[in-house]
Amino acid sequence: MKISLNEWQQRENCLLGNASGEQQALFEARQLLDLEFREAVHWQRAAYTAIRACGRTQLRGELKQIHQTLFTTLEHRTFAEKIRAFFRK
Amino acid sequence: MADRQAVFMTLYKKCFPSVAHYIAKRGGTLDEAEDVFQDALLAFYEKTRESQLHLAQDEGAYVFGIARYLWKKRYHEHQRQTSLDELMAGYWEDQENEWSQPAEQQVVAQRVVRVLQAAGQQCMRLLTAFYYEKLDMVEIASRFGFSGARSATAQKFKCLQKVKQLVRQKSLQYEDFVE
Repeated sequence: MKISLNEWQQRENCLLGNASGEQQALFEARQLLDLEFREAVHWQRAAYTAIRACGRTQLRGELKQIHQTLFTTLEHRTFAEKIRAFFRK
Repeated sequence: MADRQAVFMTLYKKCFPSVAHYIAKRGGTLDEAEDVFQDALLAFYEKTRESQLHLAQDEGAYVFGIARYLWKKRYHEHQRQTSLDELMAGYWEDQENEWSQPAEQQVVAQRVVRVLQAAGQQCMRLLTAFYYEKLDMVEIASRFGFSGARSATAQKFKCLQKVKQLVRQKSLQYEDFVE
């Protein structure tokens, strides 16, 4: 089912909680009545979930890189030593 | 993106010592401290982007609070396999602010992260900039070299359609496979 940018945007507003109460109610009602619409909405929602997971994976990689920098470069040796000292018995 | 890394480097240097100290005192390891702290930073980042929350002075205390909560849940209540979203749902509920995904959606997401690379690196960067970093279309146009917000929006729409197709195809194949 091909849809316009406008329609996609309206669905997005409803799925991401940016729609008015009236738009939201119409959106919910249409999902009850129109199976094809409901399926399309399901996949649009799944796409957002997947994009969020990608964003998180990317950020997790950046944080690991920062940790690596702090614990392996001379510049941050004092910091790393201070932390490692906490874990010495 | 470089700004984000600089912010996290500063936060790491400022907040990790207190979290590491807390976890070391309770018998944890440096690896566990790293895991817990990075999850706390993720949760903190997502919360601030979702709610446009600005914490000028208390961000250290805020991150420490999340890390302490995650440490207790993961290592004292033995919920090591529980996802970050499920754990944090309880935390945000306490603060009258919840954001969680149904478990079913998490499964879909984890499965397709690798598949989405097929949408193209540029598409995924654009989409995560909008939906994860919560940049507006003007900022996105500037970051990705579009002539303006309008053309960035059109490109975002095309990329989203690609992702939706990929998610759908993969999930249908998966369902076919397991049934």
